[in-house]
Amino acid sequence: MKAKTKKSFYSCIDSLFMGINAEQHDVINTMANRENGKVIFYGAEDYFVAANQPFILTKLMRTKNIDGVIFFTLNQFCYGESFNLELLINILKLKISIHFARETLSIQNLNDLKNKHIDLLAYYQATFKNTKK
Amino acid sequence: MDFHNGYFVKECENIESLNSLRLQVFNLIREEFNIECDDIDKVLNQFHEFVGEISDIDFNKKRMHLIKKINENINFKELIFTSCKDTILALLGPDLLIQKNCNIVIQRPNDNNPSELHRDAPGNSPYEIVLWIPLVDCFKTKAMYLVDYKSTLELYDGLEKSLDWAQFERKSIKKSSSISVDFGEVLFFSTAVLHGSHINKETETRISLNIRFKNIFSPSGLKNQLQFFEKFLVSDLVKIGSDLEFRIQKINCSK
Repeated sequence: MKAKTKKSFYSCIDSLFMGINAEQHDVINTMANRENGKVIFYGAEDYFVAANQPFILTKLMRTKNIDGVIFFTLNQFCYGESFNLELLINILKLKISIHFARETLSIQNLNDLKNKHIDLLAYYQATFKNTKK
Repeated sequence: MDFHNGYFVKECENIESLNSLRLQVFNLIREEFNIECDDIDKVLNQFHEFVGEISDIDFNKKRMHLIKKINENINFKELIFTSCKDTILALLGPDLLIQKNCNIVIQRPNDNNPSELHRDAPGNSPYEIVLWIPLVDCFKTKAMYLVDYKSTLELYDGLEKSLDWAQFERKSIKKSSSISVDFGEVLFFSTAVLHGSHINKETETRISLNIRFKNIFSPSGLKNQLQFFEKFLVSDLVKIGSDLEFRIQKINCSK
C-alpha cells in the first residue's frame, strides 16, 4: 500500500497576539497534523505593519514545494481598515491552501473562498467592525 | 412577544419536531445508561432511579459521552429551529448563526452541582438569544431561575459599588423568579440577564437542552464567533451582496 505523502505548510503567526509565540505554534502544529502535514517554514509580519501583512505573499511566492499556509487566526486579516479579502485571493492564486488554526477553518481554493466569504465577512463585521473603535 | 424583561416562555410552533428531538435524545440516554424501560416520561423524570448509585466521575464521563452522541447523531439544529422558527426569525432576522454544539443538562434530585448564578454576556454576545428546552415539565426548584433585565442592571450597579459577591448573590436570588416551563414550551432569554438553578429539591430529574442563536452580523462577544457558531441561514440579499463583493475583489486582484 502506498504511504500517504505528508503535506508541507508555511506557518504565519500573529504578531499582534497578546501571548507567547509557543502557544501559537502549538495550535498551528495541531492544525498541520489535522491536515495530515507538518510545518516546515516559519514566518511573521513585522509588528508595525501586521495590520496589512505586506510580507507573507511575496514570501510564499518565493517558497517552493509547500501545500498551504497556516495562519494562527483569521484576525490577521481583520486588523486593517477593511477585511483583507484581496490577500486571501492572491494567496489562493498560488494554488496553495489557507488554514486558520484557532478557528479550525480551511480554505482550499478560490471557489471554497467564495463559499465561505459570508462566514469570514460576518466574523470581521461582528468582531472588529462593530466593537473596536 | 414581549421581551423587555429579557426573557419569555413560548409554546413551541412545531411539536412534531420537538417530539422527534426528545425521542432521539431519550434513545441515546437509554443507550448510554443501559436503561431498558421505554416509557419516555417515566425514564426522563425518574432518570435518577434508573441510574441508581453512580460516582460523580462515572456520571460525568457518561454525560460527556452523551453530549458527544447528541451532537454527532441528532439533527438538533434543524429540529430546534423548526420548533421555534417564527420566534427566532422575529427576534434575530433571516441571517442566522447557530451554536455548533447543543448542551444537555441533567439535574437529579439533590444534585449538589446546580448551575451557579451568572450572566452569559459579555463572554457571549449580548445580541445572542438562548433557547432553553426542557425535555420534562419543569417547576419550582426543578426549573431554572432568571432575574429580569432591569433588576440585573440594578444588581450589577450594586456589585460595582460594594464588590461583595456574597451579598450580590443573596440579592440576586431574592430578585429572581423560578420559571415554570413544560415540555412543549421553550424559554427564550437574553445573555444579558442573570440566571442559574437551585439544588433540585423535587422528586424528579430535570433534563434540558440549551442552544444559542445570533444574527450573523451583530457584534460578537468575547468568544470567537467562528469557534462557537456556524452559519445556519442566509438571506438572498446577503448572498447577492457577498457574491458581488467577491467578484469585484477578484477582478481588482487580476489588474
